Amino acid sequence: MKKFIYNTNQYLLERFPNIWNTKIVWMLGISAIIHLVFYILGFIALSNVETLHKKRNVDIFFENGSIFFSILISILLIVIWLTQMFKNNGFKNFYPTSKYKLFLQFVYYFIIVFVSCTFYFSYMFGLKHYINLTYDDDVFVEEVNNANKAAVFLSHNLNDYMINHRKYPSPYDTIYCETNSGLVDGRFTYLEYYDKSYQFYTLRKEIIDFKDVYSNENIQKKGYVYFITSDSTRTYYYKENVVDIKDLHTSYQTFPLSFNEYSYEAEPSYFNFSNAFYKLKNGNDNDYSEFEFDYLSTYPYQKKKNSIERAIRNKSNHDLLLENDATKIKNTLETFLSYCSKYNIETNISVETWYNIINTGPEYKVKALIGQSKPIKGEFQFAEERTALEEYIDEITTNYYIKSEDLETAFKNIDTIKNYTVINGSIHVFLWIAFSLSILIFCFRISNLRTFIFSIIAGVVLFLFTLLIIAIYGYLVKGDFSEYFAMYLTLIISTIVLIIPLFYKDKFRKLLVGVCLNLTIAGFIPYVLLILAIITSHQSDYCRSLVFEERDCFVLLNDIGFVTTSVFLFVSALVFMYFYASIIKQWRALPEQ
Amino acid sequence: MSKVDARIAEVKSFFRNNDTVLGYRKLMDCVIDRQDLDIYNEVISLTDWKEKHPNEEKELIERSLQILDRVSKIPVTEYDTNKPLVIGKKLIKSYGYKRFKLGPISIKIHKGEVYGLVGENGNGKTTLLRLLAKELKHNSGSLDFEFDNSYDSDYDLRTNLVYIPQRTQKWYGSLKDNLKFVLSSYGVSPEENETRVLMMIARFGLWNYKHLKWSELSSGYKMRFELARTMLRQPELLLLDEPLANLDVLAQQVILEDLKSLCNSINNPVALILSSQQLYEVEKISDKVIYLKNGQYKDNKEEQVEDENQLIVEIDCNADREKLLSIFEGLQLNKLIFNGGIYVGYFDETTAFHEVLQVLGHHEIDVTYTRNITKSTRRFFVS
Repeated sequence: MKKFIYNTNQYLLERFPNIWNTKIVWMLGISAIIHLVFYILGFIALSNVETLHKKRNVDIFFENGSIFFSILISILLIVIWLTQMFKNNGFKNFYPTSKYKLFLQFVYYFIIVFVSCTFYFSYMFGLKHYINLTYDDDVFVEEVNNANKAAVFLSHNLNDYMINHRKYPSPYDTIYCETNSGLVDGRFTYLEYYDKSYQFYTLRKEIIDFKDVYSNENIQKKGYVYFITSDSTRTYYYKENVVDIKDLHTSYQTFPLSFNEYSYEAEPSYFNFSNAFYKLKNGNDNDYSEFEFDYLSTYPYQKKKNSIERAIRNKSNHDLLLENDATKIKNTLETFLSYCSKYNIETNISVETWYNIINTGPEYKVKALIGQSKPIKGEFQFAEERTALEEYIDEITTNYYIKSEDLETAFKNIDTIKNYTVINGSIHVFLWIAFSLSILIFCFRISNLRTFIFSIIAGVVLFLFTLLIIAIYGYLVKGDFSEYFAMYLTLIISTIVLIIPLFYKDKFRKLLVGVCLNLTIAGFIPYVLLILAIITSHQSDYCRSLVFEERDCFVLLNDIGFVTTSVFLFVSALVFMYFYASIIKQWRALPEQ
Repeated sequence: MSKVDARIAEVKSFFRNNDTVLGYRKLMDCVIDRQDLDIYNEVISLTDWKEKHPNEEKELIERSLQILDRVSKIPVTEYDTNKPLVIGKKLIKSYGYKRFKLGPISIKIHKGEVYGLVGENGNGKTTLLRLLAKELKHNSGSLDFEFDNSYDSDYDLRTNLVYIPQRTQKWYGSLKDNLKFVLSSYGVSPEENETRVLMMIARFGLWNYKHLKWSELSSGYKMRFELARTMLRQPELLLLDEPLANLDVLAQQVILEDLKSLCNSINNPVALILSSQQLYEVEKISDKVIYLKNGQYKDNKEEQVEDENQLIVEIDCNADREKLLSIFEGLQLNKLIFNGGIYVGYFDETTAFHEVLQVLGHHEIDVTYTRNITKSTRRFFVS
């Protein structure tokens, strides 16, 4: 091994002095090993199935200490690398070099730092690969579908079985159920269950142009139950006519008569259940789809999707219940309990017991509830007065329980990780951390400790000076121009700093030019960003000055977005560094005094 | 006999007279002049053998002469050193109003010549060296370089100006790697890198030290490694600030001799300017001595006009002034100066140095040290 290291070093030293000097080969090698370690750590992080019961496993890197381990390793790696790399500095000794080689040095620094501080990605790759390997996509989808089928029998919450949750058959999926007792119109038919009331309405629409939404007339609009906004219009929905459920059911010939006899009763029934146990993300990487938008959604697409999904689930439940096939239902329960076993979900219920709880007759009324966790022994005295419904719920709640929430969390974790894009926007954060660090290292390498420290001090002083001037201006001049004053003042000061090494390097002392050089290298990206921000401000102001209809104008930073801005700045930085390398060489050759 | 033949003959003579240490160094200089890597490799293996067999001098001489035979058959083009490498005209460097000012100094530096820069501390030696190295900017005058290697930027120019300050930086890592890094940075091919490095290690007598760490080296060897690294850069102008500081007398002599012979390379000569307090040693190897006093340049030959028709003798003895004045009565002593430790006697030109020695011996004066400094810049220091 020692011989291999020696031979490799000699090979690099004789052929690629820059590569030898920056130790990039060894740093990449060591980092690759550490990346592999992090990959393995990620791979085994969820090997205990019970860890899946914990919410947001996708953030496990930040919660189980891996992040601190990662930072520690990154710091150690970079510090050790720097101590090794600072041993030889050909540039300071005036060994021949070109601007291309100088630029390459910077690129090597960047690659080394970037690779040394991105163990997070390897960890996440490990995590994702483990989940993908352990939980096959098709099997997982089947498990979720089966769990959704069995969900109707998870009578945890009586409210889920109330009539207002019914979405099938049509027009249950389109009519609106008023559950607020105060808004129930007593002149018409409505249903009651304990202290709850349910009144169904058809809805009428009112469509207005979006541009009129904030008009005086519309802004005070009242009485609608919800609205849906599209690109050009907003549709308000108002309650129209009361629907008599009894009438409704008799008009549907596909409905069995026996069902009709009971359906208008408000008594909770398994037929009413339309919730999903777990909704798959299907490639959607965000959590928004998990929120229950339903009728309150202002997003037409999601409302539609939710309504349809609920109707489909309700139908599926209906079909299973109408079939009334004990074997089939028991199979459904058995499958669910097998998942409980697979995912170590706590339960004390058997298929038979569970079936007995739900088998309440062809109308499948909910007459017993299953707990969500192990019941706590002992009696509780409730200080507050309890409603009749609450007392009834207590009465029908059995000692049987299934910690189904853990299974749901496990599904959610698996699904989230499966859909997680490892190389996502966060890579830009790491990219800029690595870029900033490599800039600092590069500045130190091309100048010297004295110039480097003076550069930091000068940077801080300039910053404070600018703030002071802005504060004084803001105090003396009242108005809305302080934002522009701050931006333009910073631009002027930055430009002065920028042009000194470019055009006046012979006029000032080398130390001062070196400080400006370092500030330029470190501040180029903020400088470009400042120019973009100034353009954006002007565009925004112009845009605001337009009438509403014409406000759809291009505003630079807002419209190109974070990723494009980041990529643009990064490419600009590389181009700048390449061309600026010749200025760095010129500065280095300047006399000291 | 050409310069090339003379060098070969000189080396042969050293070996015939069993001056193997010196002969071997001179042999290596001849080899380096040829730039033939096959012969480099032969010398490297011979050096290795020599270090393993320190007592087999006869065989060493025999093998060395064989190499020398091969060397003598390779033609070498003599470099024209008449063209000045550096031309400085009326250079002035001032550190500010009422502060130290160097110059005006006009100077012409030729390749193959050694320039000794002497003067008391604070008289501008380092300033002049740094001016020539472009480390400092001159306030007025002109400074032109006529290098063989073309350059198109100040940075490239400074890659040709090798300046070694008095306090050199520590080397980190393997010494050999440091040397190889120089060559690879200068674009020397991988095939030549190791050979050239080992050749330079051998030339500076560092064979047995190449595996040590920097901290394990004495000051003398540190300086030798520094010079080896410098010579690998094949500089055209070499500026050394006090290279002899902290070295013992023997090390000083060896380094100066090495520098002298490397600068006098037939086909690749170097212009060397070195500052030092070791007047005797510097004067011995320098082709020209530049004496600086209060930032002003005093040419040795110009000053001689003032002091001509005089014999100036430096004497360190335990006799008092009256005694010396009395014994030198017959020797046309013009003046006798005592600077606290040493007497400096100024005699008429008709007086010979051996007569002074004779008188001192005759009167049994206990002389610790004496030297004829008529032509030495030493007289500027003691007067």
